[in-house]
Amino acid sequence: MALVDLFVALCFLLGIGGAFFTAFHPNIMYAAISLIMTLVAIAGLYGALGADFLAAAQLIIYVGGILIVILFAVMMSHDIYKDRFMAGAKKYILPASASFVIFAGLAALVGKMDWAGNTVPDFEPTARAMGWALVGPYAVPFQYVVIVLLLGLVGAVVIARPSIKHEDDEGNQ
Amino acid sequence: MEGGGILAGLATNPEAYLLFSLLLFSFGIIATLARKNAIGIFMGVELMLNAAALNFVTFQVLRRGVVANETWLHGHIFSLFVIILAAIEAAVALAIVLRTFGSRQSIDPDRATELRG
Amino acid sequence: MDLISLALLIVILPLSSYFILNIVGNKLPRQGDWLSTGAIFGSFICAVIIFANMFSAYDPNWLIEKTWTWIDLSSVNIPWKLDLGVRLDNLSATMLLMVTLCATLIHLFSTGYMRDHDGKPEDGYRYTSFFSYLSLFTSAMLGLVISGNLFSLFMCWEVMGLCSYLLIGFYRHKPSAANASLKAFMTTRVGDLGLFVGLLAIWNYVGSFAFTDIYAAINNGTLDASLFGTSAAFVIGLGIFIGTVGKSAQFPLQIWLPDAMEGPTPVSALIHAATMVSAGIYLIIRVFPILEYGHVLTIVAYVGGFTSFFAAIIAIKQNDIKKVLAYSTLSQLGYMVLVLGVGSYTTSFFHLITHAVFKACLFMSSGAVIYAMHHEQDMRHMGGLKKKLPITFAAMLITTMAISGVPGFSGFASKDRILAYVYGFVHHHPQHMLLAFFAFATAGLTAFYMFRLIFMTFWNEPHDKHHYDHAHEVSWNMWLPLVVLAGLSFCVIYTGSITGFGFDKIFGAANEWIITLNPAPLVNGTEAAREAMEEAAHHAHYPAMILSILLAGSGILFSYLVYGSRKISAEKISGMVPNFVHRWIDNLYYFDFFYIKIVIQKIFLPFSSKNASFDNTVIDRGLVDGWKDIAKVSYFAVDLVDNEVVDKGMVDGFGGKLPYALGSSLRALQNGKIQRYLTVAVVALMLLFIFRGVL
Repeated sequence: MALVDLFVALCFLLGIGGAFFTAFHPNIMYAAISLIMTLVAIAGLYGALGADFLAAAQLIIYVGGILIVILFAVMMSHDIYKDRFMAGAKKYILPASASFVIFAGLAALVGKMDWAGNTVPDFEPTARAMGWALVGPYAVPFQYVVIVLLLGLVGAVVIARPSIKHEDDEGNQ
Repeated sequence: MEGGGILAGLATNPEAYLLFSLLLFSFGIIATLARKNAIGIFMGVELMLNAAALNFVTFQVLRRGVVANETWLHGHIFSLFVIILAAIEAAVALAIVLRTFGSRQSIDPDRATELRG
Repeated sequence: MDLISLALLIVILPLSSYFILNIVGNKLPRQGDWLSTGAIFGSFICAVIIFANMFSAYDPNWLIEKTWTWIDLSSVNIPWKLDLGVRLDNLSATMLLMVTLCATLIHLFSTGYMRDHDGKPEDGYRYTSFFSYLSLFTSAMLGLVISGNLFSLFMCWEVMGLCSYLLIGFYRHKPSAANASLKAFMTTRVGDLGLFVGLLAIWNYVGSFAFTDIYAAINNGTLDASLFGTSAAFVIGLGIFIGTVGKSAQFPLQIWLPDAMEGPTPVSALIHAATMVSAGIYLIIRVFPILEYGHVLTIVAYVGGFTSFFAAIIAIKQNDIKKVLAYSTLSQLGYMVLVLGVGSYTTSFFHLITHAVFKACLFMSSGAVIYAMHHEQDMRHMGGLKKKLPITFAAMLITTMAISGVPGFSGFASKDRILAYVYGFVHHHPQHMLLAFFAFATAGLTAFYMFRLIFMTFWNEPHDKHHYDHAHEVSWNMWLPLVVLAGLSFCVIYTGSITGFGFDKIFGAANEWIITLNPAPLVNGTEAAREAMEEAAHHAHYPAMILSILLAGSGILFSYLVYGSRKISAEKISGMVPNFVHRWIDNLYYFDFFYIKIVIQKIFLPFSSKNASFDNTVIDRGLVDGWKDIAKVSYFAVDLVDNEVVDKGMVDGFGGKLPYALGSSLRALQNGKIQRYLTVAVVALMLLFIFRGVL
């Protein structure tokens, strides 16, 4: 048993546990921290798969982004605790059964596949290759993503900006 | 890979990764559908997105020799796009949450029913 | 410094002024209007240098081109290359000079117009924004002119669309201005769609956007390929022409230009007279070989001719001084399109330049009048301003004579050529007789309504004593631009002769420079047709000239009799026209009605409201109410037959509660709760799995 197998197993455990608590924990703080655990575990799995760039991106963007979510959650926690974060058990029945069916169906699909012929690649840094891909075959999609990101951020600002009545807008009905 | 054990070869077994991401996806669905809080729903969506992104990388890395002799890192790129789009989603979702909270002092999605038919 | 760098500097100066004004504009002295004006003046100097270089070479084939690679994927084995380029030829050098000159003067004019009579900026911090928008707009227009390829031209084109939106809606407290800006933006967008299709087709067939490559592709037959059952050249030409129809407000997308007069008057002068609408004409002049090769020209000619004629008719009935000018712009743009359509590239460009100069002056003069009258735009309230505003009056009179085609003024030279070419064309193709009718009728009408404007505004006694007493001549920074542009409205500057066709030469080698220097780019197989056209125009010159002078003269005379000396009553004349014609013209031929009431409300909106109406009619009324009605009928029937046998509760149960339960359970599917919708989606996915046999 190689060390990497143990590492992957740990990541699996951490990820599944985190996902479970994200879905079921009644306290939003714990749920959010569990989500961070899951995301870190996925970053670890990216590392184990040799996707070094993605692992770093996952840590920086995702974990950083989710930290901000938690920050907001904490900032609004005074009122958040007023809402029942955890729904009643009854509300979980339909979603849980539906997701179980989907899980079972896809798991059966995974089991049916023939996974022979895998190659285990040697590790090589991916950042350079990804950079080339982003200016090569993915140049146009990449530009689209850039535009979508910009628009999303502008849109977020527009949505979140409080609507203050400007004095010079008085005639603007 | 000496020593056998149940964990042997786990790191290079695509089925293990796929089942893991499938579990994440299922939990994501549950969180999205059942949480009584917009942030909870948002976290469920993040889980599902991550599960999908992990699948892309898994197929890219572990099935490379089977699918095609590709030199481009398509799976990696798509995972990167997923991460970027999730960042956008986080920004917009939080803006909406803030706005909703500001206008009705609650982020329970069940209370936002203006679109009722 | 070489000319290419100068050309780039022309664009960069106003652009940097835009950025600086946006960042620190409010803190600058005079809120930064001098920065914007100075930047565009710097561009003007550069344009003069370029023009002087071009003019001293005096070569029809003068061309300086430079390209930079923007995106090149050949290093990663993908044959995909996009270049940016600057193209300086006679066309763009002349255009640069015109645009920078008009823009400089309009900036100068704005420094007066956008302040109130005490010299305070009109609208606080928005004064700076106004100048920053003007700068951005000007840099986009200049970028468009120097573009060596359609791609960067398209980018500048879109920036200009944005700026026109910002500037038309500048008085944002007025709902009409906000609506007008939206209308302008959306309408030009329809045209941009056509341009976009043209660009895609060009990329597909030529593989490059550079004008040089496009001209080469025409000559080697690449564009003969079949596309949509016709030739690629036709599709490309038509697409690009639709872009022009939107931008230059030709029929049937003309509806935005008159509304765009809601913007401040300098904006009307800059965007809707001198530059932006000219961009559309400039574009079709640039791609003229495609239009010619793809046989789009007949369509072009009819669109232009029709626009020019019917806009002139509307202009007669307008009372708002700016609206008259707006419709006359439409009409003159129609002229340019018309003459391009009959095949004279040079004349179209000639009229573009002369029109830009005198129309900018006309708009700014009207701005000066409006300013002096404290923002009164209705001509019926003016009158007698001749003595109060002598400089404005002189400038406006000169430019009005230019637009009406009085001999000796620039408009005469270009319009005379237009009429000659149309006459020659119709002489050879009698089936297109209508074009000649459009062209000559418009010439007479133009003279009539432009002098109507002059007589109503400056002649006779004032109608509004209060405004009249307060009116006084505007300050130097507002009248100076008028004087300069009026001075440029004389024929000799452009042709060296009085008629535009080259007798009575004055300047030797510089004779008719605008005509000599701008021959149409050569295309295979069209030389013979062009020669025939030139020949026909040459023969048509004298009859056309005499006819046009007669028409202009009678238009002016008639206008004087009706509005100047009032020998003929305007009411009597208009009473002779049937009522339905009045209604038709007053409603602008029902175009707005058609677009808003029919196209938008009857075609587009039903799509979006279809779901809602399904809910309302089928689910609510059909199922819920319908069941209830049936239940009521059955209730009465049962009640009549035997009240005792059938229990009321049972009737209520089936007749009342069951339908309600059914209705509300259907209704529950649409309860507005997002998670319920998601659950439905997931359950549907689950069912899909089951039915597809994955499990």
